[in-house]
Amino acid sequence: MNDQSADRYAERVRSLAGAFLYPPTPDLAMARQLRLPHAGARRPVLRRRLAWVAIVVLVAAASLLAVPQARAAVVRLIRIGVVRIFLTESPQAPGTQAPDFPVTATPAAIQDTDGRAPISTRTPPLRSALDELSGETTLEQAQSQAEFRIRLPTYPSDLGPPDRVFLQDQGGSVVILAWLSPDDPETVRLTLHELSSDSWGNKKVQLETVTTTTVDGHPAVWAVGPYILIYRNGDLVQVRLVEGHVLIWESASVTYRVESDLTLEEAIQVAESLE
Amino acid sequence: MEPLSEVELISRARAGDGGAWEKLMRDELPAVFRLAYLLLGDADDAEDVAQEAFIRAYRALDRFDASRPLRPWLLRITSNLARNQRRSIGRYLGALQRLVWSDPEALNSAQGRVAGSGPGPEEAHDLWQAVRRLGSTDQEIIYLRFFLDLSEAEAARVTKVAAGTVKSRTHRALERLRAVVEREFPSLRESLGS
Repeated sequence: MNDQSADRYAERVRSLAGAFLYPPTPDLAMARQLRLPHAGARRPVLRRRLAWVAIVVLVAAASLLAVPQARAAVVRLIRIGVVRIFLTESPQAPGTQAPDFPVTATPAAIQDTDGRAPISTRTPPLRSALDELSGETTLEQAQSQAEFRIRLPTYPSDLGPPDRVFLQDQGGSVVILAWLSPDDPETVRLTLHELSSDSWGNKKVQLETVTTTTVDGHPAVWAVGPYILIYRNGDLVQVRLVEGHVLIWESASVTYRVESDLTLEEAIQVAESLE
Repeated sequence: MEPLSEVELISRARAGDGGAWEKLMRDELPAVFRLAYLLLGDADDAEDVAQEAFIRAYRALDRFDASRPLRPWLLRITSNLARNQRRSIGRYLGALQRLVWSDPEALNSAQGRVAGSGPGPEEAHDLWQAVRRLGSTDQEIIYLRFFLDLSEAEAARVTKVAAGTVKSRTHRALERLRAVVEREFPSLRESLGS
């Protein structure tokens, strides 16, 4: 391309790009709500914590499937460590029914809000999720590379060391520890995520039931599964049904997330047993 | 009353004036959201990144050189966040399970195409698809220079390179775009005069 031809081509690209139709620019309601709690904060630790954002949309008393199309209205914000939790009321899409979603349901029962059935509805055992995780390593190697001291639960007493260990770099260290069920090694008994204050993530989660509690006196959130974790990237939509219950709390600038089928009381015992 | 200048708004926002910061956000949100959308291809993800970009910008406002325009700085933050977002999603997608489906309709609806709209938006959409075939550096420079219509100097501030480098990157990106269009987007050849 000579210069003249290149200039003409550039102008045509500019002209065509100018006709591009963008989605409507969103309202800043969420950003405003996020900004206000931090407006006066200038502590470096807090700033580092905000470098990682896991956006968890907790949908209370609403359709589990409405949010992919309709942005939920934020009614309350909770921040636990690096996790931001939006408690929302989700407007239900017209013509959709709030799904009956018992614990034993599989995603095969799910349709999207347009009523289209998903193309694939495979439901692999939970352990298969671990096989797809990157960064598998040993506990010793993870400890040598993580930015924080990895803590292990001593409750339940028969838990022992984790069966699988993963270390990922998501802007900061993310350690994932998994214990398999002794009765059925194809299923996962418990997972513990330990997230550094600098790691980064972004997810939307809809949860059925959310309550606040404490772990060692620190604020915590308890979410009862099943819930749907939705990731969208361009034309790819991935949905994961999380059947376990999740406890999220923070201690010494590390955010912890336990997923299990334990009761709240047991999960707190696990959380408070970390050493 | 004269509208406040950007410098004045930044000064007031630093002093804790929420209204001033909201005004800046309102002015800059379209560009921030659009860049995030172009880079990520999903309106919800773009909204999340835009929100995070403003949060980070607000918290770093004390360190911002107010003698410079705000937009390139915000777009740089946005670009970095979108890049992290893509990397994070890429890693995490492998770990997700249970249900996967391709949803080409979602892309169409997400970009807000209007039934019955003229050939311009359709071709502009094809152009975007062609740009998305390019590497991330090429994509970024084309979005900044042609979709957001930034000057070379502004694009240089966003990408933190010299204006001359922007010029050469733009030239190379357009050459690669032209090759993609020739190969995969015959419908664009006439519009672009290939």
